[in-house]
Amino acid sequence: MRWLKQLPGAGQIGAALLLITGPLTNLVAEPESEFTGEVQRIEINIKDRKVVLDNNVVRVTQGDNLELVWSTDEAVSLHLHGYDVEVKLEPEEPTVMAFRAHATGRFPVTSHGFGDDHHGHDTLLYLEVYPR
Amino acid sequence: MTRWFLALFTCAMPLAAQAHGFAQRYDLPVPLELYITGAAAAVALSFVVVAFFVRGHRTVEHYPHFNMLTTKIGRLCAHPLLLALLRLLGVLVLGLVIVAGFIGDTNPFKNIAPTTVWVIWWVGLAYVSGLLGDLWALINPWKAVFGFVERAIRLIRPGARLSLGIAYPRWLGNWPAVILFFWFVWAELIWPSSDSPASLAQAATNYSIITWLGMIVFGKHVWLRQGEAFTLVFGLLARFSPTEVRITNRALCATCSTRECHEQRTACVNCYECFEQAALSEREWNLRPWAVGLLTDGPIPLSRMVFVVVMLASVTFDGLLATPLWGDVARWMILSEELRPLVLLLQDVTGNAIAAVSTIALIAFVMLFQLMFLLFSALMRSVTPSAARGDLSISEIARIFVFSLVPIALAYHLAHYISFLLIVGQYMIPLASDPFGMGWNLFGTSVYMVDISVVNARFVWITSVIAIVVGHIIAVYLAHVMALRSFRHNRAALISQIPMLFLMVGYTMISLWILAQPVVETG
Repeated sequence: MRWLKQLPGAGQIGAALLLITGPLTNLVAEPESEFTGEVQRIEINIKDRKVVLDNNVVRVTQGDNLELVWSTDEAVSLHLHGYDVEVKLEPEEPTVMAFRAHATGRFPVTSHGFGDDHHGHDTLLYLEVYPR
Repeated sequence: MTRWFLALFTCAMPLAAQAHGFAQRYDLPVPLELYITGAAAAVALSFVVVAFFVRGHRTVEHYPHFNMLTTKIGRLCAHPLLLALLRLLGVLVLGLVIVAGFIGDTNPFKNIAPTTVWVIWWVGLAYVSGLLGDLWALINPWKAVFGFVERAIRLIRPGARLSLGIAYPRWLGNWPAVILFFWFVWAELIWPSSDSPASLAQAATNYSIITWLGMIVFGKHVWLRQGEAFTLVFGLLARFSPTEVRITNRALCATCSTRECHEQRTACVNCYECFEQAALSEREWNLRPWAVGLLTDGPIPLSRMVFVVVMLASVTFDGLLATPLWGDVARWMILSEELRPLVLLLQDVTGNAIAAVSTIALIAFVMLFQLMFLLFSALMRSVTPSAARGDLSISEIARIFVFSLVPIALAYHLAHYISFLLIVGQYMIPLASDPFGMGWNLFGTSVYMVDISVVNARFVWITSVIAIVVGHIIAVYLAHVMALRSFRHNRAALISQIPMLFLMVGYTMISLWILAQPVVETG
């Protein structure tokens, strides 16, 4: 009955709270996890509808507290699959996706609706969370 | 401005082009060290198996088996009431898929049909068939409905039959099942509408009509044996499983409508027609060692070999579709001048250009697989002294040995789908409460969110590599036993296995290689 514990989407709500209340919640929320990950701040720049990265992969370790800082030259919506995080980006306005990488896996970040093109659906990069 | 989608009600996964029917996989590639370790273990252990046979091990025709119906628990599990309930469940699930597909929400994650079909039934039942037993033979809703209607008719007119009982043409063999299974594989891997509930419901309806027509024309058991693709595919996987049904009344076996049943040398195993006819005291439900069901008495029919090859090839093709290599090949195919007329032609039928090139690639891959297997069968024949092999042709050798490849495919299938089954399978929790996406909450679980952390990558890696190495060893072992049975001299049998060993190592390496590739989406 492990899933009952997860019922309200504890991870996501935790992450949302973390974003709102900042480092204090982080300290309180952390002890319940088995890993005490480091804070990883990764800046990702979208230019000409692409990101400049090796193999389009961001590698992190399970348990890390991630802050993906996005900047773009064009308005776009991003969706990190699996973790199910969505952000809307505007040019000249860096936007942060902050969450704890609690689950291992390879998760695509897809872009929706670059500019006026509402049909576009492309994988921008993959977030790879490796086990500790 | 950051927006957090808690996605409690929306399950905000977009409708993207996705491999295998439905939903995404989040598997991490197996790390290089583990990949190499697995490959080395497969090769090294192959020689251990060979050495085992070199030292003069002979196989026995009769494997140990234990009749579970002699125990209380066994009889309880096989209680007619429980079996009837399981059959009813099968029929209800088919009905639910069709009804939900037609009237429910069009979002595949808010309708129970896609998850039920692709995750629970297709992937889940393959696990059950391979590891436990032929559950499909029991719950097959088409079989149950036909049987029920037939029984109802007999109540009104005793002795009446629902089927026309037209003699099944011998030449037709398993070809209807080959075609239907190819159609299914295509739908699973390539069909752009595979995740659309309404399209799935339509496909399920079409398949139901075909199956019932087949049963009406040729008879229930004949069609199940020859034309019902899923009876064949789950039955094939269940040959690996540690359970079987058999009957002890050989005289009854001789009256079976299936000719193969008469030809079974040792026992009447897994013939559900005989099993249905047999008296309770003549029925056995046995535990047996894993994989012995794959040892056949002789060459299987050509159409069945092709069926097995389509199954083996499609399992590998499924994995290949998610590799970066396929992305490159697909790009090349779309841009190729030579293929353009074919792509344009197929595009209208399949839906889009990527589906068109995938279809070409699937057909080519199945043919390549078949050719490779025949090539290695020819090699097997040519290295075996003619005094030992008698007049076995290449085709006969292929039709004897094809089952030995099944454990490799099964192991790959189990490895490939572990995390998919455990993660995407969770969609059944909210869907059970709200199967049609109408905002119901039958069991209070409609807001359940999928937990992507239920299975750790390290666990998946290690399980996958172990499964593949074990599957490989079992395959090598089976092929050796088959060789000892088919060729007259031990030495010749061992020599015949050198090409087979190369084929199996190659096949296993491809499985491992795919697992070590990052999953990418082409489409």
